[in-house]
Amino acid sequence: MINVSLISNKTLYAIGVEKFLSTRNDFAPLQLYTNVMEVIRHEASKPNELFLIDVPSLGSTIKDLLKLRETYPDCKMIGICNHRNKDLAVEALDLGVAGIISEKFEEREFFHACDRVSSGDNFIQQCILSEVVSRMRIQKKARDEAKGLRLTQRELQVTKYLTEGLSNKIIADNLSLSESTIKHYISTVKEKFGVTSRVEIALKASCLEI
Amino acid sequence: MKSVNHHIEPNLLVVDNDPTNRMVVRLLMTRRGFHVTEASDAEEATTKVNERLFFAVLVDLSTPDFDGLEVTTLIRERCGSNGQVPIIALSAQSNKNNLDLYKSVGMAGQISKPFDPVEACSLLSLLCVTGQHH
Repeated sequence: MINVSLISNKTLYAIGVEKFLSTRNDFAPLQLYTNVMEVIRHEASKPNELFLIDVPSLGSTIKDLLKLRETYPDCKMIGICNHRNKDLAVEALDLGVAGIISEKFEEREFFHACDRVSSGDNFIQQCILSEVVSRMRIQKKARDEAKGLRLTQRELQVTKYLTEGLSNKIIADNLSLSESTIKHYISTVKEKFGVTSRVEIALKASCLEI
Repeated sequence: MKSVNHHIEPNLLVVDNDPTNRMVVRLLMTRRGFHVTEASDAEEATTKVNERLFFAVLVDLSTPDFDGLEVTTLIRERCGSNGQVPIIALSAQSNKNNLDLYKSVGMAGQISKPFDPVEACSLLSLLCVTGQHH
């Protein structure tokens, strides 16, 4: 028997999931919680627990998911994410959520996610998977381009400080170097990036995920 | 001056017949600075290990399509010095008896499934600290 707990403040999700669960006799009736603290207060976790989490509704995605994992280390989590917000889906995966379904999930996808995550596999609904794969390709291209520039350790440090908007004086202090040395590194970075200003360095670094 | 060290990414090989599971490992470990190569079966895994030296190999043990323990034996037997790489079990069942079994065939440890990148990084760090890594 699989126990599903929904963490969401949206009534429509609860109605939908309850309807789905009523069609399968290997699932217990749905437990509904509006937030993570409510789950913990009720000591909600049972064996074979699956938490279905409305990720955008969490007060703090990182804190709430970490708290849930810390309290129930063996729990398995499926996140409901907006298919346009792939970064949130990736963040949820990174925090231990094993399955991702979009906010417009249907019965087939819901049970597919439950079955896979229960058996130890990951699941990402197709519309979100396409976005994530596309993002991974862009990141890989950016990393490859960054590698091609062959920035030195110092150039990389100076670039990172520049993207934070620090002045030459503060960068020099942070790296225990002189301002003229920092100016030298900025000029070599400009040359490697093919740009002429500090702002352009920051923009280029952001594109290259440096 | 040396080139930046983030250009040298430790390589992982993930052996799993399920493309979504492999993609999730690649996605989450790439974010942590690893370069991840994928193999879907034992044959592909031994080929990849023969081609390059990996930091570690993660082998799924819960697929019916191949025997993860057999994959470990094949890598050790067929891949020469590259085959002495630390091999880690990806297993949906985590208990001490299983870990003893995995270690008896030469595996270095176990990560529970669904894949948890934090657990993976802890184990990989431990392999370095305890000297189980080359």
